[in-house]
Amino acid sequence: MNKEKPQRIKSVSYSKYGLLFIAPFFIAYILFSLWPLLSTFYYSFFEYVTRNLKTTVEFCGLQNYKNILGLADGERAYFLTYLGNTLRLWILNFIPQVLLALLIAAWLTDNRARLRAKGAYKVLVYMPNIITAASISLLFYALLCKFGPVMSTLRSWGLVGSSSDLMTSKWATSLTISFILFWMWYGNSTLLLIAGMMGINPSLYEAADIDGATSRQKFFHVTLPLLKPVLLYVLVTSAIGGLQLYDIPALYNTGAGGGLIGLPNDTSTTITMYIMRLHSSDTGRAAAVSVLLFIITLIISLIFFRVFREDDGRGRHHKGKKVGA
Amino acid sequence: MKIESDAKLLRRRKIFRNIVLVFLCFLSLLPFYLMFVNATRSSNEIKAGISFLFGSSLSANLKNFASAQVGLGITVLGSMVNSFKIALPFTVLSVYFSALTAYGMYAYNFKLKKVAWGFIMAVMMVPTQVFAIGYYRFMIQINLIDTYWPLIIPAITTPAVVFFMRQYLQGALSLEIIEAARIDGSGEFHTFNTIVLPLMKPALATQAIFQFVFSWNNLFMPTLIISSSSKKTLTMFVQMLTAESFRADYGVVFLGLAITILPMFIMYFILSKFIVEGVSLGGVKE
Amino acid sequence: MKKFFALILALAMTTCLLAGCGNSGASSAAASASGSAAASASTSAPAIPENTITGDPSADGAFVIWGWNTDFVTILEQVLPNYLSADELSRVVFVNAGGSDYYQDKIDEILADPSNDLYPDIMLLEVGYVQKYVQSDYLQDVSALGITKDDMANMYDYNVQLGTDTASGTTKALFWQATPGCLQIRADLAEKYLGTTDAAKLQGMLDSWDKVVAVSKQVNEASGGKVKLLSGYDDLKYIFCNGARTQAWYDENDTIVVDDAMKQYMDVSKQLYTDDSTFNTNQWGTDWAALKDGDGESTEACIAFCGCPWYTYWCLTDTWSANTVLIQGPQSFFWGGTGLAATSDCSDSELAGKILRYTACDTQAMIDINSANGDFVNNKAAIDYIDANGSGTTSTFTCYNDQSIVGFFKDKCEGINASLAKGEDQKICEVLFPVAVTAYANGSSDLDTSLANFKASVHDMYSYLKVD
Repeated sequence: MNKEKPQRIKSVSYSKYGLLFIAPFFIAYILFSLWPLLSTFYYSFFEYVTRNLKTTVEFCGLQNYKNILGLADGERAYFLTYLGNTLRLWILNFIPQVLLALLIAAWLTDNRARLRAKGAYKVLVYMPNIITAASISLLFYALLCKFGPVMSTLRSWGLVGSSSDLMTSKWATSLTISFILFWMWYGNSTLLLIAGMMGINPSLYEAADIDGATSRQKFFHVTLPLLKPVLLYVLVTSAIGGLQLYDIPALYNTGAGGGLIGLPNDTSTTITMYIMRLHSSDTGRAAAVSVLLFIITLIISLIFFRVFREDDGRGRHHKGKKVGA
Repeated sequence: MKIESDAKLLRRRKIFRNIVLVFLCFLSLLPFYLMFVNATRSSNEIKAGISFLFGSSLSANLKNFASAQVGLGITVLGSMVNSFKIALPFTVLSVYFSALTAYGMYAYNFKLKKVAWGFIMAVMMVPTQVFAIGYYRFMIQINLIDTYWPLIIPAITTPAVVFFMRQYLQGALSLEIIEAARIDGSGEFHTFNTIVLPLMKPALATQAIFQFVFSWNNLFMPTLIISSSSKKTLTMFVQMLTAESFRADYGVVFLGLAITILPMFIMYFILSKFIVEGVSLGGVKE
Repeated sequence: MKKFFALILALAMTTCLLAGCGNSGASSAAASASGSAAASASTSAPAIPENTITGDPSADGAFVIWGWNTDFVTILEQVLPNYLSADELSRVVFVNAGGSDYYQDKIDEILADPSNDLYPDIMLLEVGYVQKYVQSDYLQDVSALGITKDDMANMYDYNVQLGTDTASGTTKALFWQATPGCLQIRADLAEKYLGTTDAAKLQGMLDSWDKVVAVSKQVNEASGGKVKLLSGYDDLKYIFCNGARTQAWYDENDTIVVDDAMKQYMDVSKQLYTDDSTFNTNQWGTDWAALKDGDGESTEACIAFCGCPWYTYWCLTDTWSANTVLIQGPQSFFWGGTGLAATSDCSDSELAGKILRYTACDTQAMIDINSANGDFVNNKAAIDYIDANGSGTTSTFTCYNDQSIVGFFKDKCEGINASLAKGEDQKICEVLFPVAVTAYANGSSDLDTSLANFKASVHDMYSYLKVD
């Protein structure tokens, strides 16, 4: 198939192969991601009403957006409510997650206090991240529900009242969901931060040692500033993942009947649960919710890339040399 | 004097850190341990409180579980087979086409290369959820709803894997090897399959594990696409554990969860070293 | 740095992806699985097989029937052969949607496409959403199938109402099951805490909501919280939704209406919550189910569950066998039930008419249905016969002192008003209203806020229904 003579070998003459090789990816992406994305935008401008099996579809401009943002008469700002819920669940998990991950990563990379069995430790803390989230959510529910083993034991020790129930409390439910997220993800963040810390030039620490810096000072003045891109990365992926928060709240403490209502009192319903709730009955509003979610995601990634690029530009300046190490 | 107290401090610090780390390990395992314990206890025993000792109701729970799943139109093992039927081709397609795309980006120069690469970077952050509505309706239109195709085909487009593969190629493959292959008269596609792919084995393996796990654990797309009971995946089976036939008995719920978790649990402990290295050591490999 | 970081980025990205960014999956099925609990439970036979098509839908003269489980297969195989010709039977193709989760979605899709081989000639329907189809143009008036008012004379009135479009008065769906509600009282605990196992005395103690609240409080105090009368106020929802309401969920202007009975339900719930006199469980939840087998000393138990014939036969545990007293409680109501209807593009009205007749009208055929699967059938004459001659149920469940189950239920359909039924009832009653009840009961919002939230949520789900 390829009988060119050696002297003709220049990458230019093979450029069509480059295009050929990347073609499947792009064709599939355009067909199965980009087209659906554009059509989601399109659907969001139509009002879908299905009543007694009759569906009417009418162009409605921005009405769907106005409705979900509570800007139209008599409409609730469900999008904002659920965005608030989602952010609450995410923040409650992210802050302790990143703090603990930083601490553990610092410990495990501390050359002075070398800890043993690092490998086993990494394996264990990363594990929850691999296990099916749906099962984990249900597992926590089964353990913590009112007559489940945990609450029964607490009751019999007299630590909680006979009628106490985590599932009827907004904060107990939020904190538990956030804890599950935290528990599943801090191992992942730890591993990333360790990788980031290992990339820091040891000579910087040596220099700090010579200057008589304490561990604490080294951490705050050497490690943390140099870790900024990784931290930023952890923040952004976690935020984007957090905005899509679905299977844990959807399986943890939800109302009956398939309404995807996060109990108690709709306080643990997330945006993607809302999309799912609407997806077959009200395509237009579901699409509008998706579009707003897309826009928020886009803003977050743009900020990230901007900050990252700046940081990288500065970074190359004075720490570029140690990369290969 | 100072050195001595330093050593003491260091030792104390080490002990403290070890305690915390052991506690965190314990925390990682505890829910799973309680799950396995409770899978062997009867509903009333579970209701009475936590136990760390295995019970004797495993066979009773198994029997109840078997009869509870009769009404669902799919068994837990059937759902595992279904998940496997999706995850395996998904993994193969994802790893192969990502490697192909990455190689195309790495080994060739062509006009739109920069644009194409920028595009891949840009879409890496776009979550599936935001176009799920359009995707769902598109699958209805082309009559692929309630089949496995919509769950497998998108494997061709996994930007993050492409990204990883290209970074890997930059470190692992020198263009001279390709030139040499050309001189030997090897076709481009042939070169990719017989020379480049074997060179990428470590990256392929790591990504294959991750892609398999991703597909296996995915709940979002199957829920959207699959409606027949007999086609439900394992994660969809987990959802059905919330149905009344299972909820009737704590022991059965825990047993069901244990069964659904077991495959990933075993896989993780077999491949854990590999996975953890893939996550954490990849960065320094270069 | 860039390269290194890019690699980390890629790695992390993929691990994030791989681990699903865990949170990303979607699971309407989860919710609908738990949600459909009530719906699927109302199908009495415990076995739901694979999603299957029995017969060849592309054959000439194929007559397609849609259902979501094998309930109807029993009738098809054991009852209808006595009434239909072999030729007619051989044309019947049964499509089992394999569970109620997606039944409506699937059927809705195919109803729009009469040219499809699988287009139903007859479809099965559940009470919670039957009105959605009755109010549509997709079902046929039974009179067009040769079924007269006389043929329906033996049906319980409420079931006729459920299958009738009130505006036009045309009946489109017929039910073969009747599902009058009751309270099931656990005899051993009733003896201990209520001092009697006599059905009439128990009924006297529990025939109004004030009494239910008072007795609940008294039982809770007497048992130190280990035993309560009811597992949760959520159990009461069908009593109020399907029995006590005097107004539909929305009026002729499509304005959402909350009936006074539903407000009473909220007050009763709040009282029960305040007194701590139920376990506050949700129906079909794990906690709820766990209460069935409690011994009342080391583990929590409750005395009463809301029930109906299929529930009594199939959903109570061994603890309750020969240990259950059936009483009406404060209010008559219905819970669940399956019917069938012919579609507007039905290929053979004559056969459809026959199947409807011998599933839901003919007394002897309905006695046969009872012999085949034990259904409490929607035919007064058949029930009289079964009451006198014994039920054919395959359930081995018995009541305390051999109280007759059929005998108890036979007059419990009287006074049920189902003319308020709407197509949205199931979602409103099972999904949306319970949120408002719980919020008000546990004090997280006051009455007005709870009701406003509820109305907003109804409007959110059904945008054509308006908040006043």
